[in-house]
Amino acid sequence: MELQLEVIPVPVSDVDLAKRFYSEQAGFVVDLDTPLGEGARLVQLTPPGSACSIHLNTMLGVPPGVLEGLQLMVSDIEAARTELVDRGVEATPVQHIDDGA
Amino acid sequence: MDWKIEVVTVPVSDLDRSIDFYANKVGFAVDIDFKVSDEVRLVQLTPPGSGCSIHLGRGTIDMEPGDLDGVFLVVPDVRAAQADLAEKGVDVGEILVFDNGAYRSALEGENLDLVGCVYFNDPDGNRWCVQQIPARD
Repeated sequence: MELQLEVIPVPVSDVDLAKRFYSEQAGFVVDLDTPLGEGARLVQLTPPGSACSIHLNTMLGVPPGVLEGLQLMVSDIEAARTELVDRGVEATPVQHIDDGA
Repeated sequence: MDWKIEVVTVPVSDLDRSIDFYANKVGFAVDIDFKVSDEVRLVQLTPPGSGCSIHLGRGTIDMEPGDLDGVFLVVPDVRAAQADLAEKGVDVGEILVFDNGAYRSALEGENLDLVGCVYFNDPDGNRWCVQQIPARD
């Protein structure tokens, strides 16, 4: 049976702030923003062309900001970095992995 | 330009134990198991049919083993997926239905498309959700 990795929950402190960051600055598409009852809200975004999405979640068992090590794949890293910086994202310079470092 | 989510890093404490769990019990395929240096070993697995992979992280990230919570896997039949996981010795929970803002136990024979799921933990306590979504293009 297929077992598709579909959603990564991202622990955030402020859903509106995070939604603005991921949609307006990172360029992800907002798929869903639905109330779930009891103050909870489902916000799902997908990067353009991606088979996998993220949920912004204030109620995970881990603190906001703890998620690390997600990789996005692009066809042109220089152009991708320029896009991010133009939209005000603090992106590091492009790094090359060479000989394990 | 496409920006594809490609890899989720799963924080684990013991790479070999985790490879055995994800490959032999959950059924992910091992794509890469490469020793980068004495400290760093790159292990990548992909669930069958998935456009996104996982890395088993130990020493490469600051997340504590078990910190990852609620990554979703999607299957066409969550009852079959639960039976499959249980048969392979995975400690998988009962089938839950998301109904009116809360989870309840699934009823026998009820349609689980979009609303039915099960949770399971890996050996470090990273928690996964398996949700039923009908096959799509």
